[in-house]
Amino acid sequence: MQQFVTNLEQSQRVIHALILREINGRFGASRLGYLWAILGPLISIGALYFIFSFFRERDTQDMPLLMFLVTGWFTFGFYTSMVNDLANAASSNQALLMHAPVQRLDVLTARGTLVTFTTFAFFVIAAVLGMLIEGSGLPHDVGLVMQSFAGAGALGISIGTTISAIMTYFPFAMNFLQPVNRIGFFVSGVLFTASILPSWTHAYLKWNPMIHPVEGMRQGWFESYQSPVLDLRYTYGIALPLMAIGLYLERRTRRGIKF
Amino acid sequence: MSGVSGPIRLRNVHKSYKTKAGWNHVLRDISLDIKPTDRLGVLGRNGAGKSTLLRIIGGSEMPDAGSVERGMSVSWPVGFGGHLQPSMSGRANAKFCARVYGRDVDQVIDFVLKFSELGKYLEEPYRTYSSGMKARLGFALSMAIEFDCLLIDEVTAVGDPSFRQKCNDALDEISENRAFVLINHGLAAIDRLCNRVIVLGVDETPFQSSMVHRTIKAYERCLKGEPWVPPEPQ
Repeated sequence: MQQFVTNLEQSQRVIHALILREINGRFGASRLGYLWAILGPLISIGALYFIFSFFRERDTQDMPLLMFLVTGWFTFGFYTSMVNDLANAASSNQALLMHAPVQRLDVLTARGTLVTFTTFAFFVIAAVLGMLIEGSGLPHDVGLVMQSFAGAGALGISIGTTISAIMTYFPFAMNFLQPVNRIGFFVSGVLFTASILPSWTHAYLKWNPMIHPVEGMRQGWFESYQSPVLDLRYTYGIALPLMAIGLYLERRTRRGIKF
Repeated sequence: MSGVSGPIRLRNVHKSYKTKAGWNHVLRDISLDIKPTDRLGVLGRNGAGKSTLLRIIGGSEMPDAGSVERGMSVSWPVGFGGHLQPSMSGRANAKFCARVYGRDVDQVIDFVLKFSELGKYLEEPYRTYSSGMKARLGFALSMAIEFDCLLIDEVTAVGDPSFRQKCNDALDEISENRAFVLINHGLAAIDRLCNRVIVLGVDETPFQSSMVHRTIKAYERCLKGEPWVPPEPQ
């Protein structure tokens, strides 16, 4: 028991050090590091806003366009950044494992924590901008918004951890997932809502575990929107067992390949 | 330092790597004790498994078979700068190491500044450092954290003569109360600093002895192409 407490304290210390190191390495390169990081998604959303409001009008089911884009972008973005950051965490921090107290799970935890806080902070900033520009309101069902956001993150954590472990054997595993995620952006409701699609497509849409967090986020945020496909249990039903598998594989492949 | 020091025990350690040409068995059945008073020199040609042994002792790599017990705190392989973040300054890197090992950040920084003599370069990104400066920072950091057992991989072979002298003096000083494992192509350094040696890759099983000078002579003869003849005990 005492050993467990000592290990936990050490882990906590290491994760804290890793988070500070990541922040410094990622955003500390220039004085405006954080500003550059938030500008990226803002520019992308701004471009989409521009296109959809002037060239191709989009049926957003009475949702204000900018907020519609922000909710979709950051929910799906949370998932993809989580997958990418966790999957590459071990390979880009391989050298850190030279420090005996640093475990791969610490590196994964540090990155996961940082992605969560960064995405959350950026989401809040974008939402505030949306409210200022469009006059859109606060989310009407905060519980559903939180569950949806957490669902996207949980799916990202489970896939990221699993891929990270698999990459010990197959360093190119990420190359297979990358195109899937890219297509995922177009089929997960970031740029459309399930309700504008013909109802026969709903049965197929439901198979995509990322459609539910995005739809849940919209339904939770906008009172006017009722999703015809929303079932967050499906997303969690995939994420949680996969997370257990991912953590098991992580344990099996810790510090090098074992057969 | 952990306070209570016991030996580091390696028992029947095996390690192999997969290469394009097949499995390369780097370490075969190594059993080794490192006591808190030991200053172990590791001899062996390139590829004989010296650095692998160091990583296994340090715990950054697991053996394929066999066990490793650590009764004292062990450093990372010093001289290996890969754990330092290139875009971060020397100071930020030192802070990170201090935090990971739970040491006082200010004390570590003070020590590193004094020992490395990097001065204002400590504020510059690590990637801009010359190899000599990298060695200074790496070695200073490992001294600042105060491990019970230091693992030193060739670091004393880089840097200018005055820094090399400083490293050797520091090793002399710590050799009184701390253990270290030294990999160095400079056989003279091992001869002077170590009280035990292990020779890898000359025989089926590694040769271990506390007759440092005579083992080095035998190893030198082996390097010249003569068959390996272990020194006879006196």
